[in-house]
Amino acid sequence: MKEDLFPDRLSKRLGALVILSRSRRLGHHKGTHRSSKTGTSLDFSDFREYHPGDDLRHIDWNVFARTDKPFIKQFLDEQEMRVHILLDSTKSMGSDGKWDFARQLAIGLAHIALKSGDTVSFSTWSASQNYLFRKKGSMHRSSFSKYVSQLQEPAVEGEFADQALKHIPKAMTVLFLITDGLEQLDKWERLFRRLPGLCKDIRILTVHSPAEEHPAYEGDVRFVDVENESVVEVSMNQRIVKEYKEKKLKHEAELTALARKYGIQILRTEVSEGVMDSFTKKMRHAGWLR
Amino acid sequence: MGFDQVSNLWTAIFPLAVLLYYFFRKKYVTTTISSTLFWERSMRETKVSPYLKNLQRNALFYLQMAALLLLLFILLRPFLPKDTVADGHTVFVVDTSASTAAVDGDRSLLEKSKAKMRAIVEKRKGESFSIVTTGKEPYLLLREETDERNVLEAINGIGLTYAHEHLGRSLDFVRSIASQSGADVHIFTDFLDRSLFMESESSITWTIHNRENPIDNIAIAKFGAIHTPDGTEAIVKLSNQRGFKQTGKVIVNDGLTGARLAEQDFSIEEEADTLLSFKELPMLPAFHVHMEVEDDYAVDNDAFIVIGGESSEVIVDNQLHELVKKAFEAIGLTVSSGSINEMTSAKDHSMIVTNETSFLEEGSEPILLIGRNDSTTEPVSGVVESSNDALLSIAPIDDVYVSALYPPFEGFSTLAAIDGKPFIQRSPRGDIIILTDIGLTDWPLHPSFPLFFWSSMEMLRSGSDSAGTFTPNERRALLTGGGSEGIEIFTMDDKYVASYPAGGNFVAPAKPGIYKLMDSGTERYLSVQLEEGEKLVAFGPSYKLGTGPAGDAEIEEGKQMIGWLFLLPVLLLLVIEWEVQRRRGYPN
Repeated sequence: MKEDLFPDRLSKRLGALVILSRSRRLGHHKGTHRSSKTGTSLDFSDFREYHPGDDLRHIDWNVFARTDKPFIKQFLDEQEMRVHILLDSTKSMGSDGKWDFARQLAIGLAHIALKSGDTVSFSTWSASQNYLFRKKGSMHRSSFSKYVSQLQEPAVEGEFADQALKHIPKAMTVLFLITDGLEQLDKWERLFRRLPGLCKDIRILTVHSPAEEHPAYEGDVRFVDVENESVVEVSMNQRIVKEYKEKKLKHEAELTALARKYGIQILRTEVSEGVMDSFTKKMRHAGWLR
Repeated sequence: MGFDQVSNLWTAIFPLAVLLYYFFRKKYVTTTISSTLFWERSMRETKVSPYLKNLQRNALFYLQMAALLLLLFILLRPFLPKDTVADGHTVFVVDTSASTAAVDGDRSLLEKSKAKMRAIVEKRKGESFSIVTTGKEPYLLLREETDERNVLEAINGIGLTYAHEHLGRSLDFVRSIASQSGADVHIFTDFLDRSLFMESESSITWTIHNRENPIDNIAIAKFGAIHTPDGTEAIVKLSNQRGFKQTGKVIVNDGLTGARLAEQDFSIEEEADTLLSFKELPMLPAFHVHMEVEDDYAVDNDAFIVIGGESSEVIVDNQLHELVKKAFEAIGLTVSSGSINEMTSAKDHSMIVTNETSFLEEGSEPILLIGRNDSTTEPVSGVVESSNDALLSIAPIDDVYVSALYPPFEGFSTLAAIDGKPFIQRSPRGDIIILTDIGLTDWPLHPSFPLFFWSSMEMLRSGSDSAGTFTPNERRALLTGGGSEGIEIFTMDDKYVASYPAGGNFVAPAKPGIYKLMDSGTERYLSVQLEEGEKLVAFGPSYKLGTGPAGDAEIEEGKQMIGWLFLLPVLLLLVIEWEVQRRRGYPN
């Protein structure tokens, strides 16, 4: 079953994709992503005049022979990215297939990043322990899959937005947050205010289940919130459902607006659409992958 | 307010079941969802006051409860005790036979019964009353009349009909009109035995008001008179019903003029009969015998007789066809077959049916002659042409086939002919002559065959002054003369009694006595005599049977049923329930 969570064929289809980022902060190690700085890759970048103090080894002697002036031959730099994936493991993620979908998203992103030779770190937490996975290189794809697959069903009390900060390492190029976004806006705002200090390129994937999109309850229903166990008794009718949908849309719109305000990208994914479409269509369309 | 059907309380099970259903009903299906974020908000807006919210949420329950309780309430048949409107049904069965004319104390039994009825009507104002009078044909005087004045008027209008009460028929009649709804039946008579009632009639309460006091009654049990060569002989049989030795006087009067002819004193032992005979009375057609005696029942102290026309015996010539005798037997006459000698000796008091033409000259009474023994037949063909005579008015003979005819008598009137030759003739004396043998016709195959003999017999009898003896209100067909004016009945004082357009629906007068019957100009006499049963007056204790809805007459009070008033709210509740259901959808 754990193998089924993210079969190899999915992994193969993701092979051509690369995570794009305009973030200037890259890792210290050599990688596959071009840096804006000049570096040591094989790709030629530019010539510039020699100034004292430059490394003599970089002088292009052919140019010097023709022009009698020392020029420095510059190459593009290629560096790794540090990708961090933070998975929301509050109880609300456990329902309606969201947990599996979210883990598939995490594995998929990690596979893409690992294949590019980037450093991937993954963190989540349960009630008793914190999970942190950190590897670099495509060799570790299967061990990542295994690591994520064996995660327990989410059982964390409390809200994701309150606790997320503790689990984000510093100096990350790209930060993925996978969550369902079902928390109060003021809590999200508190989180969003702090996030840009940790990372410049923050991407939030909100996961939505079909039952949330189109509730099909009938009659009198007592809704129990899985996280805080607050109870709402609702007599279902069309008006109530309509109001529910309006409220939900408003919440999503406000969350998106809030994220944009803090320079955070946000992308909606739905369980019903399937994980591959999220990668190959939605994320590419949003410019997250190429 | 009270309840008529408290036993229907068991239906309380139904509302209780609904109540339990709502007790154990899962009000909400608990569903765990990711977040109540949005639901909470949507609910917050529709929140109302807790009381109203409870009402709103359980509207269906309250409506169903209310409807069921109302239905239960209606089933209990609530009523308001009220005198003005009530739905009890009281049936009076009033015996109007002659025996109720017997005095009981100071008034006649019928008057006493009327007083009792009036008391009951006063007590049950507003209820419905039916009144049935007795007789061979029970008569429904009133049907579920609620207007007290009409009821009292009808009670006052009840009179004696003298005919025997035939209470069994009246009871069947009452059962048929009261079996559906139940009724309180009061029977007013002289005596009715308990054995007439069946146990199964639970819905009807029978109250039988019998004559409770013993009666002193001496009756003229039988009165007969016969013309003899020495004058008229009369025999009177008296019977003392009970009590003690009585003495009195019996007077014989002329039935037509009322002139006193003879009188005789008598004395009679207790519970015994005695016979008085009167001889050498004048040859009068009718007699009236009157008894002067002290007793409680006056109607049977008079008796009437009209002499003549009583011959119900027929002697059929044994040479005639066997079917002639059968036909007379079929119409209920005493028939004997006899030789010429026998017929000759009996010709004055029996009707003669023969083919012996000599009888046309002998005797005083007309005869029926079928065929002629002094002649032979001649073949004839053709259809029967009948005249419009009364003889053939109910026995059409047009389709009778006749193969041969005897020669006709000269000077006799022809009633029917075939091919111009007389078929049926009538002599001036009134003899009826059929000019063929029965064996030469197909007449016995026709329904007119016995009817013709009945008509012939009525016709032959009508030569006398007597139209017969009847019991009060007896319905019996009379053969009329076929005149357009019909039959008219007058008393001996020439007071008009009744008239009948045709003899077929003649009904005898009620009061015993001698009456004149006018039929197309001829005058005849008929006597109305009491039946044997009416000359005895029975008595016994009153009693009561059955426990119908009316309950005890003494303590009953009217009930105004108000259950129906609650049906409309129930309907309204159902409509509201439907609307709530429609808006709310199915619970759970």
